[in-house]
Amino acid sequence: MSIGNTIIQKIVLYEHTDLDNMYNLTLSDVLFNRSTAANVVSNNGDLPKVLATVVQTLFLFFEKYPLAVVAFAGNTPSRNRLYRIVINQNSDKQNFPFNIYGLYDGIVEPFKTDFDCDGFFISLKPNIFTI
Amino acid sequence: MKTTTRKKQREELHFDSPEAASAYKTARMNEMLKKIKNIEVLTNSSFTKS
Repeated sequence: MSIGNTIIQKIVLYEHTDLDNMYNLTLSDVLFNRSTAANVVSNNGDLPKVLATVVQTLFLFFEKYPLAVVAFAGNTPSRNRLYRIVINQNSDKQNFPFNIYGLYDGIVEPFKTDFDCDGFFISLKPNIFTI
Repeated sequence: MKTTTRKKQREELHFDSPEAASAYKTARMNEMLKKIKNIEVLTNSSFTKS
């Protein structure tokens, strides 16, 4: 639930891709009659809270599928840029629990703080749940 | 699915259900995965155990 300028119900879904052990993450706004808007720029004033909730779902997901890879991509370059900025703000923190790779011109490489990418891939660092 | 364009870079996609939105985004991801030149980086176990 996004509670800022207005109240927006949000949903995170993980769906298996064509690759073994890889799941696609989708964050959507739930509208009336369960219709859904993806890639909405809500501007609801609570982006950090929304993203923190998404990260919480990642922990729950990896608890069940610790060896999975989670993939996600925005529908626009500007949305991917936003994701990059948010990852930048967190990935250098001590005990950051995830490995993050990006897709750069068709090549998967470790996440680069200064380059925009077309998609993101996340796995869990080992021993996160045993510390 | 309906597509509404507010700006060139801001496109909202509307679906009948969250599951439909997920299916659309997953299909797009599958297309992206097919084009990756070094997909083995993600499929070998070192990525999830490094």
